Amino acid sequence: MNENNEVTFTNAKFGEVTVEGTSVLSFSEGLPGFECLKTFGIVQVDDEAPFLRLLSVDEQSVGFVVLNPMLIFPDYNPNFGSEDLDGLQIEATEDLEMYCIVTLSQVPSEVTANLKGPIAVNTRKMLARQMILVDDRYTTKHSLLAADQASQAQGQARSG
Amino acid sequence: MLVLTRKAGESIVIGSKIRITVLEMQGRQIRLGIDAPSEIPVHRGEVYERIKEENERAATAGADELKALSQAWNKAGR
Repeated sequence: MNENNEVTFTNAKFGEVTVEGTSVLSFSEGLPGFECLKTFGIVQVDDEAPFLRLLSVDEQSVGFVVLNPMLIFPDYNPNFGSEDLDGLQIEATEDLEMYCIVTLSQVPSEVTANLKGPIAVNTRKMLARQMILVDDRYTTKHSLLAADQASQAQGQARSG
Repeated sequence: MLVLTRKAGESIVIGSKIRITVLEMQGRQIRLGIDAPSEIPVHRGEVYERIKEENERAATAGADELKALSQAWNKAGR
C-alpha cells in the first residue's frame, strides 16, 4: 500500500489496476480452487455497472466478475447459519453484503451466476468469505438471461 | 487412504481437535456428526467440488466479455 492508501497490481486481462485500500478484500481461507489467494481488489467501472471486478492482488491470471444477486434475483434469500459467517466479525446486519460470481461466456445465454457459493463481505472490515450453501434452491449456474428474460425481451422489442 | 470400520455411536478422532461420529445408518444413508474448531471449514464434498469447478471456470474473466455483458444488460433497459 502506498502513501495514498492505494494498492497497485497487474491483472492479465485488465492491465494495471489501482484500488483504494478500502476496496481491498481479505479472504482468510481463499476461495475454493484458489485457497492460496487471500487478497482481492474490488473495482467498479461506471459503464460496467452493476457488475464489479474482483481481481486477485497476488496472481495476475485470476480475476472474477461479481454482482449483487439481489439486482437480478430479488427473492434471493439463502439459508445460512452463523458458522457460515465465521471469521467475518459481523456485528450488525448492515455490515453484511453479498455478491455472486458471474461466469462469463461469448454466448450471452450461457452467462450464469453462482448462487450456491455467494461471497459474504463485512463491508466495514473488508473481510470476505465464499459460503458453500446447503440450500438446495440454488445452484452454481443460474442463467442471467432467464432471470432477466422479461426486460431483455422488452429491450429487444424497443431496439428492433 | 486409511479405511476404518465403525458402528453407530462410534467415532474417529483426527488430531486433537476434530471428532467425527457415526450417528445413525438408514439404508444407504449415514448421518455423521462432526466436531471441529470453527476455523476449520467443513463442507459436503460434492457441493464443494461444484463450487471449486465453477470458480475455476469464472476466474479468467476478460475485459471484452465483461464489456459485452454490461452493454447487453444496459441495452435491455436495466
